[in-house]
Order: sequence, then structure tokens, then C-alpha cells
Amino acid sequence: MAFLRHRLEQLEAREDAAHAEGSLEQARRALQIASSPAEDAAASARAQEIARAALVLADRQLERRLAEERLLETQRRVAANRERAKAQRLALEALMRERASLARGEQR
Amino acid sequence: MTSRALSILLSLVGLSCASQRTVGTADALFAAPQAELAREQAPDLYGQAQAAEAAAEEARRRKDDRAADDYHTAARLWLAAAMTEAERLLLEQQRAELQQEEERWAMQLARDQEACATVARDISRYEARAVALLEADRIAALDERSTPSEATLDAVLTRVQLNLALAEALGAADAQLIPLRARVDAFARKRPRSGATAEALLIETEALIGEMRGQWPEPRPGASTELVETALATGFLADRLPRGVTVRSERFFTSSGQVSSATVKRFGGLLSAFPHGPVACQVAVDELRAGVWGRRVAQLVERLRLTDDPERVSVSMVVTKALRAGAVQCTFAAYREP
Repeated sequence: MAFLRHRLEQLEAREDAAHAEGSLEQARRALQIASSPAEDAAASARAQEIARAALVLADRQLERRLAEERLLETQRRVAANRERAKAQRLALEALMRERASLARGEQR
Repeated sequence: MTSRALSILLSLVGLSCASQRTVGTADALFAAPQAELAREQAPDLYGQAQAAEAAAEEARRRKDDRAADDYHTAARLWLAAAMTEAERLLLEQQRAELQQEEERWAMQLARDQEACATVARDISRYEARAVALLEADRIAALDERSTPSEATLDAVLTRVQLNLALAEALGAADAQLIPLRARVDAFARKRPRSGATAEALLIETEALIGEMRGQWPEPRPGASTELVETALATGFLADRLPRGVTVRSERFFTSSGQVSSATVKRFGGLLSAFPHGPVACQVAVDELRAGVWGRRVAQLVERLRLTDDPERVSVSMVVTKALRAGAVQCTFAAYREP
């Protein structure tokens, strides 16, 4: 139980915690139920299991979001590199045409 | 994994976060192909979901509805976590593929940048040679009967002054230099529109250089480099090779097959400025038109015999595809560096 509370605090402290608010709220409620004196031991154990699953889900949601951000950043970088490479290729082709033209002129 | 599968997974993850869900919906979730993907990609989390759902089923058999609901909720959360993890892995996979593409573009960019630098250097060389050739053509176009242009006079003056500086460096005496300098100064002041005067100055200064060099029994160290530079400056291509300096040009013959007086004159200047040793010229010819080229080469031989030392230059034909027909390649054999 202490571990689950600690894990909940860790996730809530993250700057991006808002992106897993639903899962975190579910974990919070489950932990409240688990610690309620009105619940018997079996119900408390089931609530802890729900809290554990909700915390894992929250963690995976936040990691998935980070992965999505990294993917978008990589997509932007690839697009920029692709444009640069294409522009460089055009420049090279223009230079090669100019060189060929000069070479032909020299042979005349 | 396709983006369509990814979007379906996304929607399922969203659905799994809903607060209420029936048993039938959960069964449908487990039976869906997207759940199968989650099973493949995140087997640990999927196993947790299955175990929780099995516990829910057991509770339902015991008629313990509250326990069944709790286990079913846990199963739904584990399955959602499995799907989210599967989606994260797919995103990472896509990113890894993009990074590979990024590396390919970066490599192409680097290669092209390097190639651009190389081609730009080639272009600079071509342009420098074109300028040199233009100057050389202007000088070579001098004709006793014609009136040189201002640009030609400038080119002649520059060349003559360079020749005098070189002759002095090679040891020419004041007695040889002063009269020539006086004529050059007068030429620069008056700028006479006389081709004969300009040509005479050129020939005499080149001959003075040749005379200075000729005082040595063999070319001095560095002479091969000077020969290459002079040849390039006068519109030829030149290379230092183990057997000597090779000077070549595709301009010895005009497009109509006539011997080019301008080129022969330029080559004559080169011969007199670099007086050591024999010079072996080869004319590249087309095998199918060897007869035609034979006559043309004979004309070239006649023209080269008019130089100061007619025995110094030998001319032969070679059938080759390595050079264009009519290209002439001359080896100054004495200009070898140790």
C-alpha cells in the first residue's frame, strides 16, 4: 500500500501528469477504498489491485505521450533534413551542368 | 504495424478508459484483433488482464457481484495498459525507422556537399583556364598585319613584364634587360597599335628566358613545375609525369581540320622558353579516318619545322580512344623531377 501511494505521488509530481489524469484519479479513488476501515481485507486487496493497474496505465500513458512527442520531433527533423538534402542535390546538379558546359567549351 | 492498426488501438485505449463497461464489452475487447496485438507487444500486461478477467469470471460463478466488478475493472485497466504499451512500442518503432531515414538523408547531404565542393573546385579551374586561354588567345592572335585591341595590348604587356622578371630571376644581365625594359616602358606609354612591335617584344623576352635556361646543361630543379604553370597560363593542359612534363591540347587543329596557327605559335613560345631536351608529340587519330589524319599531321609537322630547332620536336600518330581525335600530347622528356 505504501509503495502504491509513493508511486502515485511520483506520477502526480510529473509535469505532464495532467495527460494521465483519468488513470491517476482512478488510482486515487481505489487507494482511498483500500484504506477505508469499512472495507474487509478481500475488498481492500481488490482495490489495491485496481490502484496498481491504474498506476501502470497512467505510467504507460505518459510514456506513450513522450514517445509521440519524440516521434513528432523526429518527423520534423527528418522533413528538414530531407528538404536540405534535396536542395543540396539540386545545387549539385546545377554545378555539374555548369562544369559539363565549361568542359565542352574547353574542348571546342 | 500500420497506422490504421495504430488508430484502432488508440480508439480502444480511449474506450477502455470509460468508467462503465459491461462484461460483454470486455469480452469483445479481448476477442478483438487489437487485443491480440497488445498480447504480442506487451505480453506481461496482457497476462495481468487475463488473470484479472479470470478472477472476475470466478467471482461471477460464486455470485459475488462486487468482487466480479472489481476484478473486471482491474482487467479493463490492465488491458488498456497493454494496448497503450503496444502503441508506445509502435511509436518507437516508427521513430527508429524515421531515424534511419534521417541518417540516409544526412549521408546523402554530406556526400553531396563534398561533391559540390569538388565540382566547384573543378569549375574554378575551368574558369581560370578559360581566362588563361583567353589571354593566351589574345597574345597568340597577334599578327603583324593587324591592329591589336586594348585588351590584347594589356595581355602582351603583362606577359612581357612577367617574362622579364623571370629572365632576371634566371640570371639575365642588365645589359640584356635594360634595353628590353626601355622598349617595354615605351610600349606601355605609347601603346602603339602595332602587332609587329608587340609580337617582337614577346618573342625576344621568351627567347631571353630560353637563353638563360639554356645556359644550364639540364633543367634546373623546379623547372618542370614552371613548365606546367607556363603551359597552363598559355592555354594548354599539362601534367608532371615520371617520364617528363606532358603538355596537351585539342586546339592544334581547327574544327575543319586545319592546323591552328595560334596554337602552334603558343607552342613555339613554350619550346623556346623551355629549351632542354627532345619533345615527342603524339597526335591522337581516329582509326577509321587515319588517312585524313595522316595529311593533317603532315601539315602540323611542316609547321613545327619552322621553329628555331626543327629537329627537337618529333611527331607521330597514335590510334587511341583515350583522347579525342586531333588531340596532341607532347612530352618534354628532359623535364623530369628526381
